Order: sequence, then structure tokens, then C-alpha cells
Amino acid sequence: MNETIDRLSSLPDDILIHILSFLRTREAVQTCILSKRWRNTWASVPVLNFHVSDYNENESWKFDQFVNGVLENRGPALLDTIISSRYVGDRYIDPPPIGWLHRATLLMPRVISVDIPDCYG
Amino acid sequence: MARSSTENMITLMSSDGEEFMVTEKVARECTTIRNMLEDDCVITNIPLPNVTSDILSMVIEYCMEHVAAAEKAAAETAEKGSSSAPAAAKANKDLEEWDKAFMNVDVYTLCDLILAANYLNVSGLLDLTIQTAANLIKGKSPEQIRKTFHIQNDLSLEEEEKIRSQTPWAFEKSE
Repeated sequence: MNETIDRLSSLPDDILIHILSFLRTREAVQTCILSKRWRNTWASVPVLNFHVSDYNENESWKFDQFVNGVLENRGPALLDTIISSRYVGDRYIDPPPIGWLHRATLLMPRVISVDIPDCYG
Repeated sequence: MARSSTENMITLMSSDGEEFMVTEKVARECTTIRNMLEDDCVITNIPLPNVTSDILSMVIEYCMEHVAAAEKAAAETAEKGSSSAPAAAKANKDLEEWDKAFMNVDVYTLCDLILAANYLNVSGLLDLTIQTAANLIKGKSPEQIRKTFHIQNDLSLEEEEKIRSQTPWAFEKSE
């Protein structure tokens, strides 16, 4: 009886957004093609969690494209946290492109967490 | 551990009319109920029209387990003057294991538990259930996610293609 009912999609927006905020942003964004219900849900997630390790080492440009895509396309919902991790294991993959931090600050999140390799410390 | 016989009891009533008698301490794990009790301290009967009996009994089970764990930790601290770190770590681990086993439910029940935890404002249970739902999405393809949660894809092939072509950056593969 309950076994084939889509209970998840019937939950209110704020709960779906809460669930998506526990995921890496790449996975949260990709829920946009699950069904019409999910088309824009990701755009209101208040936590952006970017990990370069989601991409191959020589493809960090794809990662940067993704970050820009998210920052440009997310909705007007308040942003709480941006996390940017550019480590794959203990290897640091190129610093973020110039202008990234500026763009991130314009969104006025409460927290921006960026990892910085030891050589800068 | 002696339970005081004068401890206040509260009756919680589910949407389908079943009554659950719990200690005030257990009831207070639900912030929504705690607020009601603080507004009106003589209240002893609380109708919860948004929660069915099977879900309410699970929420109560969760609250009782967590209250018991906290009481046990407090009693051990009182007895020994200070809490022993290994014992506390073990107790935490046991409670984590209990939580994990508690989350062994079908996705329909999981979603109902999320709604109840949200409505009753049981923060530990809300975190636990939301994290469990997120874990069921993590690492899966859209098709696998649909299957897990029985999501009907009401997008036509053309619509899905359109979304993908409008957001190419979202679906860039790393292979």
C-alpha cells in the first residue's frame, strides 16, 4: 500500500531544502531532473558545499564552471554558508579563480569557509 | 534508578485518537510540547492532530531512549564525582548504534517521522531523519533516487533534455 507512494515529494519545501542542504551541492543541484516538483528546489538551499574532489584532477575548470553556474542560478533565498574545498586527499588543486570570493561575498552568506594550503600559512 | 512516583504524567493523543501516557520529562523532549507546558502548566492532555499513532509511538520511543541515556550519564557523573571519559564515549556509541537501528525503516515511514519531528520540534530526531534521507540520495543517479523514493518522473524527455541543456554546468561529468 504505502510501498509505492512518493511521500518524499509531498513534504513541504522547507523540509526538502533541509534534506538537500545535507548534500554536496553537486548532488543537490542534480535533483532538478527528478520530476517537476524538484525542478527548482535546489535553488533555495542555504548551504553551498563545493568539493573539487567531485571532479578529476585535471578538470578543475569544470569545477569552477559549476561553482559559477550555481552562484549565478541559485534563487534569491538567503544564503547561510559557502564551503569551498579544493583538496583531493592531501593535494591542493589550484586556488579558486580570481573574482570567486568577491562574487561569493556579494551573496552575503553568514559563513564562507575556504581551505588554504599550508604554503600560504 | 528510582523514578519519582510524583513525576507528572502527560497524555498525548494521536490523530487517530490513541492515547499515550508519558512522563513530563519525555514529553519535554518535544520543544513544541515543552512550549505548551510552559505557557500552561496545568495542561495534562495534549491532542496532536498531525501525528498518527504508529508515528507518535516511534517518536516517544526515541525520546524515552534519549532521556534514559541522559539520565544514566547524569547518574554516573553524580556517583563518581566526574564522568569517566571511556564510559561516556561508550554510552555515546551505544546511543548512536541505537539511533542507527531505529532508522531501519521504509522510506514512507522515514518521511512521516521527518514531518513529526519537524512539527513536534525534536531536534535530535529531526537531524537524524534528515541525515538518513540525505544518505539515501547521496551517490545515486537520478534514476536510482526515483526508484528509492518512488518518485514519478513527470518530465517529458524533451523537458528533461531542456533542463540539462539549460544547466550544462550541473551535469558535466568527470570521467
